Amino acid sequence: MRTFIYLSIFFGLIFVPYRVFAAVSGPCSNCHTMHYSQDGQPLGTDGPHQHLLIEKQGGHHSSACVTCHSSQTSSTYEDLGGCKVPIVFYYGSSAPTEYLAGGNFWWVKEGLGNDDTKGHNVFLGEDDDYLKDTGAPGGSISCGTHSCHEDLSQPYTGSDMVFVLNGKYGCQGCHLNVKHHAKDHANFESGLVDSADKGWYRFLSGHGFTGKGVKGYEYKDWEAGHPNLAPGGDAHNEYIGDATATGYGFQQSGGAGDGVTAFCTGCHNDFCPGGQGSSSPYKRHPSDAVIPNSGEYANVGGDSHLYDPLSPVAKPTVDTTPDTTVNPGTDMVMCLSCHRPHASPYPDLLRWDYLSQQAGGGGSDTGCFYCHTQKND
Amino acid sequence: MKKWSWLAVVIVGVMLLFSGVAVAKVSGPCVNCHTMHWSQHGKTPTSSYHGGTTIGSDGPYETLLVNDCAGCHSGDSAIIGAIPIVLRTSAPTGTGPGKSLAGGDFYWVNAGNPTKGHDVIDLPGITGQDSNIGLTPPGWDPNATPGALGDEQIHDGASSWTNQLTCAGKYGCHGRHDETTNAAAIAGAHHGDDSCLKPGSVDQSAQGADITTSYRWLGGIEGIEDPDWEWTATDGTTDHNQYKGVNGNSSYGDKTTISYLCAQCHGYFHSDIGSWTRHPTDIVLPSDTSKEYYMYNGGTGTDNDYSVVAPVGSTTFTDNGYPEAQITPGSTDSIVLCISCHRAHGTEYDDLLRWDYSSMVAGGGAGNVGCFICHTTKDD
Repeated sequence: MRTFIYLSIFFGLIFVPYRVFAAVSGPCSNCHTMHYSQDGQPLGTDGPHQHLLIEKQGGHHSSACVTCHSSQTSSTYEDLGGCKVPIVFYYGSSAPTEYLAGGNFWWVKEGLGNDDTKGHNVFLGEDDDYLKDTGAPGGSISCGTHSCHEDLSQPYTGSDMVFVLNGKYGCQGCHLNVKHHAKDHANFESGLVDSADKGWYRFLSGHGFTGKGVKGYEYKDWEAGHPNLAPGGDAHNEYIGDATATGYGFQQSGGAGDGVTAFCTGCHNDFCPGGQGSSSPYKRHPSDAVIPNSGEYANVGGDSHLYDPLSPVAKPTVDTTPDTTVNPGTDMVMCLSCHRPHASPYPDLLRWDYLSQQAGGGGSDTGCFYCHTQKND
Repeated sequence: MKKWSWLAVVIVGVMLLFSGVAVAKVSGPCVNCHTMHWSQHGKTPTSSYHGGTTIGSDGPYETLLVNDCAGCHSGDSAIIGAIPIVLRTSAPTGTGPGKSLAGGDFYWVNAGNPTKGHDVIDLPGITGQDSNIGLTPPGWDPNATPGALGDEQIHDGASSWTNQLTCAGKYGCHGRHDETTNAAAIAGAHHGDDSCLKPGSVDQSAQGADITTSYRWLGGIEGIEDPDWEWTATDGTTDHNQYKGVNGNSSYGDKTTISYLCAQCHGYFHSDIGSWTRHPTDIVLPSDTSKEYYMYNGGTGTDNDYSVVAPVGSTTFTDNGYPEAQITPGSTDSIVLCISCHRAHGTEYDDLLRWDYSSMVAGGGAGNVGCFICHTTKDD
């Protein structure tokens, strides 16, 4: 009898499937190589890389991150040995026609889109032509040399800030503490990510001394299909906002909550709620401000208040059930309502062409007019 | 939707397209007037990015504007794009049609002549109070406000002013007087539907409900707005503003007239007129042929040509109608107004007058000019 029990437990552990809670899955060799050596020769051209990472076949070898998250054939995601990998840098010769929620770095890459106004300059040595003397627009923080608050294209040298920042640049300027093996949700599934153990939403966190990061609901396919995702669906990320926030970053001057607005304003300090004016009439566009349920804003999303992934909003709380509607009086405008954090086809990383937005120009209630529903009338 | 319904929509749409109805709510690229974060390439926004609009030096500005009131409404010509210019950067040749807009121009007061305009602190050349009158408006009666919107008293009804005049708000002329900043005072007006104020779509019953539907955003005031602010305006035509006036308003009983707007600050000049101890306003031109007024603007007493030099007001406006081309003294289309003689912003003449008072000579034979447009025999 005892033997029977032991065998049952043994075979049960082997054969009963259980969920793998990790951002990545699949053969370790898809991503890692122990000695960067194969048959006595280096395994690539630019390594060895941190965390024993490989240079993916077909990837752009500009950095360890980019090599896996780039492709010349897909601008959304690829299957790497059974693990879906989001592509944030498509490097085909023509601009991608579809991309992920964060956009695509094609538009800022030298030799491709080559427009510094359209993306964060994360590629080594490809400095932003416009921001050389100013650092992050709206920013006032300066620490060390080439801090990420000043540029993302040169390696940082300075104090560690708990996250061992020395030498980091580019992707790691924002994704400070990447945890591909965090216990959040299975690869290519959706899930709520709201803690350090889970790696924080999209690996976005503050410096270690804050103990804070972005919370949100990660949609399984990174909203592949932008900019053509139909409104009114639930196939989207969910972002959190804090309408009581007053400062910038996660804790400066009262902090800016635990959403993307807090994260963005960690570099773009003046653009935080504190730099916008306390209420209407604002001096800078509000973020983490409740969309009023009055005037033109009451018609956000149209008669049915359809959530539009092109103009996402922040929620006061997020759960595992994305809303199909936007709720004026509760939901908030945020930085990502208008911008894509990686790069976009438009100046200032906007989700649409601001120069084409016309007061009194008619047309559909999209872009600026998703919220400002009467100004195109 | 049935076919005939769609046809009706198309027909109405085409009618509206060619109706000539001009709504003043702004149109055009948002970028011409607005900037989101007061940052362009990490620095102050540039004019070239913003459609050539002059960028202010004091930003960020409320409502995400690229400039303040004077910044947008100043320039070297009277109308730039679709923007009315009230502060010319070089001297206009005068005021009136073809020279300035209806309100005149701040040029002269901004250049340091305090008698020639309202000393609005928002003007770039104004650094302090009017050297002749100080801060308190001449004729100030705290009891004249609030106006028709019920939006608090101007300057909180203080007996003496401690703040200088602004474009709008608690210490200004335009917008709500319960707001302390220019932007808040006129919030919503630039993008609002003001068709009830426009020739061809006039709806007097809808006027004055809020700032957007108030004549020239003067809270509660009624009128018909000339589409080009009288840059072109001609006697005896419908091409001019139409001001609201009533026959008798000495106790501020009617708060919708243009003269009441002036009275909000210069109340005693409106209320304390006695038996003409002060020049009358909100009073009808007499039709009595034994007096001189019936020959207003060189007319015969019936259907006299409206004068754009010395305008008169009307009490009622016809729905979907137009300004009066002719007026008849004695009727409620012949109301003497404050602005029959003054221009609201400023002129080249002392006391913001439409003409040089010191050149008005009784018996001087000047003809149908200035004071003598109404006082038709006093130049004889």
